[in-house]
Amino acid sequence: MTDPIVKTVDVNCSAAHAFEVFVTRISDWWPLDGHAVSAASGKPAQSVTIEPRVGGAVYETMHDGGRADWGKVLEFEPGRRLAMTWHPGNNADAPTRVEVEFADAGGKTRVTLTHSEWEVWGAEAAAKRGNYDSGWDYVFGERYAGAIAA
Amino acid sequence: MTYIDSLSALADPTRRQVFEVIAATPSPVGAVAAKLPVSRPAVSQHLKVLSDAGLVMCRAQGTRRIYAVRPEGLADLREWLDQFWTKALDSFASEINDKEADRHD
Repeated sequence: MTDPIVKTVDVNCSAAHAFEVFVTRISDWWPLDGHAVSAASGKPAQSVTIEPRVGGAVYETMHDGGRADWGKVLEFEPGRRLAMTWHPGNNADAPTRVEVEFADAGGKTRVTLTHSEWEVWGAEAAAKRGNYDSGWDYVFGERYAGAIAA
Repeated sequence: MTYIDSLSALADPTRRQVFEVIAATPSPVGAVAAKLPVSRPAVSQHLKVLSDAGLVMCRAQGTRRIYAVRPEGLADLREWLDQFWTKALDSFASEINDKEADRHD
């Protein structure tokens, strides 16, 4: 087994607002030009949608209006927690799992994203895991420290 | 882009099985075919796609060709996923923190 990818970021608002922005305004912040199926053909996606309910679809509306499914909502607790299957650009029969937790942290909200079960894509990925740990801490810490301080 | 090739290559369920067999034990084509309900030519074709995607490598052992997982290919995928989430969450934080900063100005 390979450890999940875990990312944490603090945002200057309530957990309820952070959740709201994450889910209903995802198209405002998601990097549509690089993090989308549409981007593989060189054109940004139009939008990303998370249907706000358990069983809801998570999908991208591509540059040409076509739909690319990314996953479906597994858990939906406003202001607290979102979990979904995740398989953009891949078949739905081998989904990975993404969980996002929103926790009060002294006037801010700590958002923790966990991407697990991605290792179905590569049984030997664990062998390389150690090489990246320090790099992640550095890149993530530097970038987020900068973004929050700015 | 390597990661798109990797994701596409592993999207096929049968090809993923072929990949898992050689990930467990580096093997020649015949040994893979013996473990799966797939013909030898089909296994060869799947291995070619996996090789083209950088996920599998092949070495000669006498007259046999042994297929094995290529760790660098998986490392590329892992690295891409990690950066993917860093960028996405960075963008999410900016959306909120920048708006909050505007409100305080």
